[in-house]
Amino acid sequence: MKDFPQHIQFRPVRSELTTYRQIHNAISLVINMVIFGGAAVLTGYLSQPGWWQLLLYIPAAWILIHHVVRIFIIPYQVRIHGWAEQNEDLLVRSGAVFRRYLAVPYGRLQFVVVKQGPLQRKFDLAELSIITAGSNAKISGLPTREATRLRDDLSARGYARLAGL
Amino acid sequence: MSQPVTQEHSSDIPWRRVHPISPFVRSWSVLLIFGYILTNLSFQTLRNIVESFQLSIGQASLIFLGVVFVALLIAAGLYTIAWRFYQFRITSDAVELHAGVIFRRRRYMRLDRLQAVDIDRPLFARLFGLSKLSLHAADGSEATLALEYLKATDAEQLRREILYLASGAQDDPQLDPTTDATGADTAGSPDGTPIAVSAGNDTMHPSAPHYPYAEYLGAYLQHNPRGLTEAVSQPPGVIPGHTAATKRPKNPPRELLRIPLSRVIGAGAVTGLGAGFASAMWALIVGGVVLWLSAQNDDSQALPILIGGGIGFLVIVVFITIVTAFAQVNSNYNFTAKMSDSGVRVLSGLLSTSSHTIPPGRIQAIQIYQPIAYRIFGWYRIQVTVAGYGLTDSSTTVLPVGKFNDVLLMLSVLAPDAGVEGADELIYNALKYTSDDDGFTHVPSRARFWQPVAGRRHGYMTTPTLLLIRYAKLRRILAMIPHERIQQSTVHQSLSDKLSGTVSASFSTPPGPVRVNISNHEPEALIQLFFYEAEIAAHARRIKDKNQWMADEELENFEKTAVKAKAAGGDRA
Repeated sequence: MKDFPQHIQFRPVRSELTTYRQIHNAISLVINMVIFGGAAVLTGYLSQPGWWQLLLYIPAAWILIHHVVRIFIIPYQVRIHGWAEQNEDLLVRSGAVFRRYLAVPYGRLQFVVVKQGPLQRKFDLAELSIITAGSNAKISGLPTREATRLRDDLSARGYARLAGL
Repeated sequence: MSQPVTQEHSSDIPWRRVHPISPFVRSWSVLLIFGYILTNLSFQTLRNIVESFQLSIGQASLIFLGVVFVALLIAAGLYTIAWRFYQFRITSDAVELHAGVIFRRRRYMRLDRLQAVDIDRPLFARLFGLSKLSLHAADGSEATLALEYLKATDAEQLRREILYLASGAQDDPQLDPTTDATGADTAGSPDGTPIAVSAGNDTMHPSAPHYPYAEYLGAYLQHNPRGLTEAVSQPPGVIPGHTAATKRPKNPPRELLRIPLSRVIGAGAVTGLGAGFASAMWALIVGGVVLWLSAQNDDSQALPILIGGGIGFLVIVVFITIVTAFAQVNSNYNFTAKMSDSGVRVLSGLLSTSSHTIPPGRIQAIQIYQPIAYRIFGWYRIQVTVAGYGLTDSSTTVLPVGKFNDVLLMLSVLAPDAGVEGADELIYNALKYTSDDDGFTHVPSRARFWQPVAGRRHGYMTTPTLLLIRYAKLRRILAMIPHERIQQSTVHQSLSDKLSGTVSASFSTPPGPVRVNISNHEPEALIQLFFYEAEIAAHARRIKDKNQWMADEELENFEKTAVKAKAAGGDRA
């Protein structure tokens, strides 16, 4: 999306998000392979042999491809992911291949949630969800301190501009 | 049902109960099933019992009656307890409901979050003259508070009371801590924010250029005075506090339109036929494949199977058609739209009746929808997005079938003025024709592949107050989203966009039937729209919902539209 104005400065998220997402991706890959691959092997073992048994491996193969592709995309995703606090709204940028820009006017936000899992805590990463009546926006990979700062700031701005739906 | 008690402290307001028979009405189907099982069981086992105990028929029936009597007594006792524990009250700013014996439910719904009020009369409840009152709020996941069941007159009275309280019409600065006492009549808008004032008085204060959308707000004010706060829309000579809402004359509800029975039946038949043929086609495809597989080796079976298939096809068509058509006629029978102080009200129903009231300023987006079958007759349907209703609720349809004049009539109360000359023609042409210079954008030809049917027709247009998005070619869909209702904007590239060098955008409102996305458009224009809408959304906070919408200028507007619609005659379809 080259036409998007270049002068807007997006603040990047922590680069540790790459490590976190890679670990997350690896764990997810192992679990999914055990479930789907295991199911395929077991079904193949229990049933009559035939060419159609190859079909059983399609879900597992698809999941494998998906995760392997993600390994290469994650660094770009993290580099692209960022946010910009403007006067009246918050811009969020995401997506390495399929770029997405999202604008949330401060006055529209209903509430703000900061989430942090155990693994995220280890890397000092927090996920900020901004909920409006329409849908919600997410910024992942914020430093914890920055996330709480942003939460308080957004809430304050939202409150100052709040007027319902 | 007394008048709302606002003077008392909220804890003094007494709890009310629903109609005593309502636990029975609520669970009659369970009771019926239970009774059915019980009787079935008895007839089989009774004989055995009678034989084994050597009882005479008289003794046996006496015992049986006793058992039934005890069972009824227990049921009545349980119902009484359930009834005793189901209570609600209406305070000046909230509705509270306490229900349940073992699992307690406590609902507290703030009235300023109220989005719509429905009164439903399901057939069984109707037999007892009871109604169900549903309050829809934009308040998290549990959006609906239902009071089941109330006497019909009580339900009406309660609805009036709740809407009156919710409108803030009674707002007394002493009672409402959020109201600025000096600002007096803000009618539920405590934050009469400075920017709206400065935008509205733009001509008087030219020193307000640092608000980039003052121009937009000025245009908005000009075309849509009801969207702004009282403080802004009042002429400068009027002192705000002196037009207290309570002193305003109450306008009686006035009928907007009534759909004739013939059209309801026609629409039902058409929709039913469509559904019937669609399901029959599916059945034919599935059945055909199965039969073809099974009869492959046996040619002698071909003719009977063909005849059987034909009969089956007809049966399915007729059955589905009748069922769908009846359901449609049942729900749309005697459809009436009214307008009153408390908002738009639509009433309909044959066996089960329902009435929906949507207070002004609660409609997030509007969609004019014309299914393929409606095109033959020039009928349209109007759906709205209201925060409490959600995606699938049938009450989102505020006009099930109407001519274009009915559409205009409904739009005059549902949508803000489009803010352009000849808005009616614009909407009409947008729905009916597609041309290069109709003001709408088009999908660029390089992306036409991804929009094979809608093609050039898919596009958007902005007016000072509305974002219009047009979809679909066979069906016709025109979504209208007031700029200030857009919650957030997104612009993104999907795979198809990536391949054809276009972008897509989405302008979200609360969940509802109205479509809000634009696909495969020129990047430059759509990104511009993205920023435009994002900033309007940011500034539009200052444009407040006005609760008293039947102000004089609104009535005038309505009269004008009504006259115009009548004068245009019924030929336009």
